[in-house]
Amino acid sequence: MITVLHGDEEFSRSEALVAIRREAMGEPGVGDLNVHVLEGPVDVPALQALADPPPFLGDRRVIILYDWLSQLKGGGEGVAVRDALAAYLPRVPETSHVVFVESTLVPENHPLMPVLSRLVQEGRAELRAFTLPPPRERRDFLLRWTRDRARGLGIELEPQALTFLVDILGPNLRLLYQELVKLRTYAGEGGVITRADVEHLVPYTREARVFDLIVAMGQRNARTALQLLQGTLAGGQHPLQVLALLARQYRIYIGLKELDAQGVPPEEMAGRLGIPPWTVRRDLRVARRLSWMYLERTMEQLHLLDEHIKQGRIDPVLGIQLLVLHLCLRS
Amino acid sequence: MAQALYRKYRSQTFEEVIGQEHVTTTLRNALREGRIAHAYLFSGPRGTGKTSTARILAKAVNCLHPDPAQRPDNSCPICVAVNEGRLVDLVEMDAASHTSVDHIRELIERVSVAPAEARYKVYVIDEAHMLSNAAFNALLKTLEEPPPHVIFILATTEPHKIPETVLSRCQRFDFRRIAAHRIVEHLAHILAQEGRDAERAALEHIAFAAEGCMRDAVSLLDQLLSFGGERITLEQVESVLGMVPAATLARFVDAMMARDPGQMIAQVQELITQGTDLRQFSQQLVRYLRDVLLVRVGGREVLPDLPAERAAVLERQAQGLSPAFLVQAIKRLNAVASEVRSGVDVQLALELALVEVVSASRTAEEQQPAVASASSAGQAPAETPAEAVTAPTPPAGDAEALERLRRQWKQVIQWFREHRRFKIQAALGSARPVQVMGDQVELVFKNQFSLDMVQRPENLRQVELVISQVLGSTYKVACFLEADYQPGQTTSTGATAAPPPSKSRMSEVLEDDLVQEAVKRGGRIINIQ
Repeated sequence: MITVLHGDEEFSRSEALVAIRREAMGEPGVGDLNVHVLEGPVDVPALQALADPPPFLGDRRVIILYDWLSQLKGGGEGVAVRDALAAYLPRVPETSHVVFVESTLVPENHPLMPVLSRLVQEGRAELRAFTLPPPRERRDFLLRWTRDRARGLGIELEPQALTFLVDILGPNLRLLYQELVKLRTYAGEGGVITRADVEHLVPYTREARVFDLIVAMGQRNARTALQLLQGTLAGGQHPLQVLALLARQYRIYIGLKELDAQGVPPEEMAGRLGIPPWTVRRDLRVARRLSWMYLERTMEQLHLLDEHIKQGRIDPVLGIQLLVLHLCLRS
Repeated sequence: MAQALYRKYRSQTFEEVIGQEHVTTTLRNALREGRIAHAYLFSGPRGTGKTSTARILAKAVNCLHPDPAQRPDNSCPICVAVNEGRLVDLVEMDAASHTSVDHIRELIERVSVAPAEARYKVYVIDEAHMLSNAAFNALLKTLEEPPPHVIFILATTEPHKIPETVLSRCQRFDFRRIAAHRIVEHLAHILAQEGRDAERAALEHIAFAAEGCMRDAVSLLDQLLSFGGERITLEQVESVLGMVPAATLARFVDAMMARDPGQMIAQVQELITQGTDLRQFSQQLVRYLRDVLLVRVGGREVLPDLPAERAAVLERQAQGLSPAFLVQAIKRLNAVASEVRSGVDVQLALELALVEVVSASRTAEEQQPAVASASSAGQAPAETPAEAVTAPTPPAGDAEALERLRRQWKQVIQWFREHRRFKIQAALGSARPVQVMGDQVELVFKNQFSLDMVQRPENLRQVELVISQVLGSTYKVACFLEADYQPGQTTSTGATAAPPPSKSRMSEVLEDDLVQEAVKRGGRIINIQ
């Protein structure tokens, strides 16, 4: 049997690999002896040496090869290896399962694709792609995936908690799953997770807090802005980190405003700026309200404060507090 | 040799870990349900319980008590071995001094070996952010497929330095700064155990100075106890911290409120006589004024850790000082440190700064100046307009000004036509004024194109000038798309407006070639003198 697990969505790919490895686990203490992992430069004889012998006290051997196919795309010395592999793949014994794990998608025009396709048709090979849906459909997919996984773990996420979690963690499924497991442990079987639980337990909420801070500053709500800032600092965030997050957010506003002026539709902006698509409309609304002059001056001030903190001319906490106050009241 | 208090009173159970209930609850549930992860990341400021929790977890996963809810029991052989630092299956590594890949390889080689006496081998890697990239990569392989008998606990104060690939394979818990009242409770508990006593204000002061770090607070208490004496006093705490008493700072700020430089200079003299380090004093004064400013603008809850008595004084002073004055004073006094570094006598620098702060505020009161740069001695984080920092409550809309602008809107557009700025004229044709708040005029546009046209800095400057001319005062303009506009989205402080330059004077200035050129390049008329 040949399996190709390919694509850049690492978490699902790893889960599929774990399931395959589990298949090969025979009697306790023996299973591991039938699992072989090959990394680095590999040749076909080495693969054959592992795949041809019958399994040891079990039904199946599993041979895992990482990112080998992607190395065999081009010409040169790889051609001979590729030909040898093309000749060997149809001869892989029934008792061996060769698994190619590729961190990128194997293209349709890959030289080994004809052999692999034929084997797929014969039911002797399987190609499984792991990628996230295109940006436009990604958020819905993530919401569905997270909700289903949470249910699988025995917890229910309130709608606000679900969207908040997905928005702060983005498309990193491994991270999402880790946090779900933690929330499940916190709430227990059958627990219902609220947005407050997420804020309380999930550490990656700082970008969201910075966005709230910017909104408060834009609304000249100095009291709220200061409370948010103090909360962020109390959470152990260094003022320079807050500064960097503020600068990042204002850079996004500048980018969005620029693209908006060029007539670029919001759906394209995310890709061009490298930001999550679902934040575009929210950020664009803010960006449109901020004048170029305000944005330019704000960036200047952020830069100046960064310089002064690094030169030791102002205490970092004092500096960021004064800056927030200033931006708040000058908006 | 006596054991340091911090070690003696180090948390030994999850219940004893202070201020991190979100972490301990989850870990205890994990123990109870047998859902132990294979890799944890404990991050947060120093002295908040990361390493203590790691050790407690190491004990708990290996504890021999039959009821998982009672683990660690601190009495079974495993718990005792951990407490005595002799359990071979608990490996603690300081990544700050073991940064290289070889150290991690050595550690990983031992990972595959089953634990000697406990259920799990627990590896605690402290200051994990110090590991090199190669070391992280080596560790990642093991984190991806850890042997079932191994638990990794990474502790760090700087989680952003941990690669994302490692982060996503760890169950991460963020430890928070510990609230002052929890520190005070713990200090009081230690004192009771030790049969000693302290003034409440002294403990509050220790907690405030510790800034959420329990280790610092307990160490300071230890130091104070070693002086002997029946009772720890506030005075002793201030003396050990090398701090000027809060009461002295409060008196000083009272003199500032009275705009009395003579009184302040006399107090400086008194401090010198007492042997106070003036540089440290000026830094403390800056922090004190910062606290007043925070209370003034953000309210008392912005500084929840403030001792009650001090908070009351700050609140009183906050009522008597404007944010603008406080910002100026903080910036000017903060500059004293760098002036001293460049060789200026510290007493002179401080006295000059104090006189300047008070004189500037008097002048400001007398003249009510226009928006001015507040950047003093290059110390400002921004060129803060002094008057921009005012009370946060936005002023009500100026209906009269709005009505006037609406009546003269055609003339505004006409001005651009006459001055051959046809694009702006066209853009303003699709706009209308909807709000005048303080020094800000809000315009809504029917389309994005026109809005963008007016929003270009050089165009916006001209629109602001013309509107200011029409209204007889300096106004900023905020542009919105009609579809997105909600009244009161942005407001103005109202106090930032410069005194209105007369209409004729403004026209005169606008005719000047140099002024026109400056405006084209993004310049802006702030005031006419």
